[in-house]
Amino acid sequence: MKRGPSAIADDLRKNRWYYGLIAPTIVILLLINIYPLLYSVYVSLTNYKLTGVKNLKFVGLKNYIDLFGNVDFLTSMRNTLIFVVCAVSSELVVGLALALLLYRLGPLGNTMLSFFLLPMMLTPVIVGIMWRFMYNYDFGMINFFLSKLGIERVAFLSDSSKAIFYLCFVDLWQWSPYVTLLTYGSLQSLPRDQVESANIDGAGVFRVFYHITLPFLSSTLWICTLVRIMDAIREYDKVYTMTMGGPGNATETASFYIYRQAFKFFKTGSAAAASIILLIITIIISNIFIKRMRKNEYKN
Amino acid sequence: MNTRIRKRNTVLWFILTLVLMLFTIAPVVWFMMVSIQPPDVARSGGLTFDFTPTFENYINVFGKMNYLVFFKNSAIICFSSTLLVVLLGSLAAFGFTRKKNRFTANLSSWVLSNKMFPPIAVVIPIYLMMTKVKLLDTFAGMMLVYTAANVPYAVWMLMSFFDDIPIALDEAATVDGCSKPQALWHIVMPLASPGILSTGIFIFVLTWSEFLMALLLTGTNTKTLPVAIAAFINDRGIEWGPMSAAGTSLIVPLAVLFYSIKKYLVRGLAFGAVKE
Repeated sequence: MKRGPSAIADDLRKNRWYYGLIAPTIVILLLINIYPLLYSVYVSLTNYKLTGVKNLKFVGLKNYIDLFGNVDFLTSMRNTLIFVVCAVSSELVVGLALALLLYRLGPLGNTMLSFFLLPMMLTPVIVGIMWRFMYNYDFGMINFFLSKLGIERVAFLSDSSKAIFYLCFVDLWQWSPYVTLLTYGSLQSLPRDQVESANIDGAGVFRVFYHITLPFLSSTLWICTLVRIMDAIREYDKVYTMTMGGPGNATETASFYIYRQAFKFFKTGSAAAASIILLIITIIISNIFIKRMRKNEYKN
Repeated sequence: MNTRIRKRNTVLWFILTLVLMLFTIAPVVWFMMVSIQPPDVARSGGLTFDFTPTFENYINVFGKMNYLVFFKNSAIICFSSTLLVVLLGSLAAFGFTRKKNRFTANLSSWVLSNKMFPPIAVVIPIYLMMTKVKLLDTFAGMMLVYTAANVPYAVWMLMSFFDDIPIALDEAATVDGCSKPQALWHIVMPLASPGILSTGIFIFVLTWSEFLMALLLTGTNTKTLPVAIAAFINDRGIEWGPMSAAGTSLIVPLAVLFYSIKKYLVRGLAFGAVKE
């Protein structure tokens, strides 16, 4: 096959109907996603301030270098890492366990699944508010039951060393059903004859799970993992409604840090730099995801 | 295997699942319950069934606090951007599924990669740009921003639906004298309409719930429901009664829409990568 500009022009002409249909989407993405991001890269290299600066000047990588010495930024990155690792790993375990449980229950499980999906459809802002309610020291439901059991009340969200884990727990509550929904769907096509013959051969529940079920679900679990990572890495809504990053900055995630820098302290240049760092991390992870997706697509 | 043990185990699993289910829905039920409590019961947390149901909180929220305005704002923004997303998305998805070569495969991956960008990274420059072109706090601006944010999702979800419609069908139509646009409009679109509708609902739900961009890019003219509800949290404390009424009225329509597309949810939530 010949290559080069004439071949490309040929291809464009021949398929102009299809390319023409795709073009508007590409244009709007370039205009409202890519161009702003490039502009953000530019801003991150300047001393831009939202309140306005007298002499806007190019400062090179200064914003980036400063960030790596900035304790608040590093704390927010650490919090994001804790959040992503704890929330996503627990969601995978709980979500998968629940899917297996529902699968075991047969048709009844399918009906019950609908109820489990409830948290997933809720607006994250509402979830945050709801759990602020649940965690409330004086009248929260959890403390209500704890006190009924004779256990001392816990001030969940004002404990700076543990608050981030309580946030993870809310994410677990909201998003394990996601893993459940996807894996439960895949389980429907689990090769039953394999499981049965393994059972006849005397393989226990755990061996069947490890050697048959888990490999069978691996591609679905892979997708769950990455979708959840991409989502958790940008966590903002629940932090905003539950803790505002507090106590101190114990629950300040990267997104929340960037938001505060840009819109509360008006350090636009520095915030843009931080957002570009977050973006790069995200792009690296998403590339793994997209490679995997395309592998799946070719399989179909 | 001993069937009696198996039966007993099933009952145990069922009870465990039931407990987990109660735990899952308890916060939601409590939240909704508070919204129909008299304000003085709600103020102290309302962890009681001992009250006479009242719509006082709703009357407060929609009457005195004028929540209908935020409802209207959310509706305008969500409907317009969902329509645009579905239109652009269907055309692109059709193009991607009917013309498969290395170039379109790369391009569709690139489209998806746009969904991966953290919104906070996009929202700072967009804020600056929209201030310049005077689109901040306008319906048109919000519509464009949400369109760009959600079109990658729509394209991938729709691609999985268009893939289910055999290409032979539109080829046959062209042989029979249909032009290419006619084949798209009269043959493929009607067949894909359930998929297009559920994609639309999915995108609508996403837009309805969006918070970060709305918080920064809307103002007095266009403030959406999630932003309005988050504003209940302030220095004076939280008014649980009105807030849960506002929250409930936001999530009930969502629940209805969400369950209406349960069958197709998996595709949307996994970018079309997993089909049931």
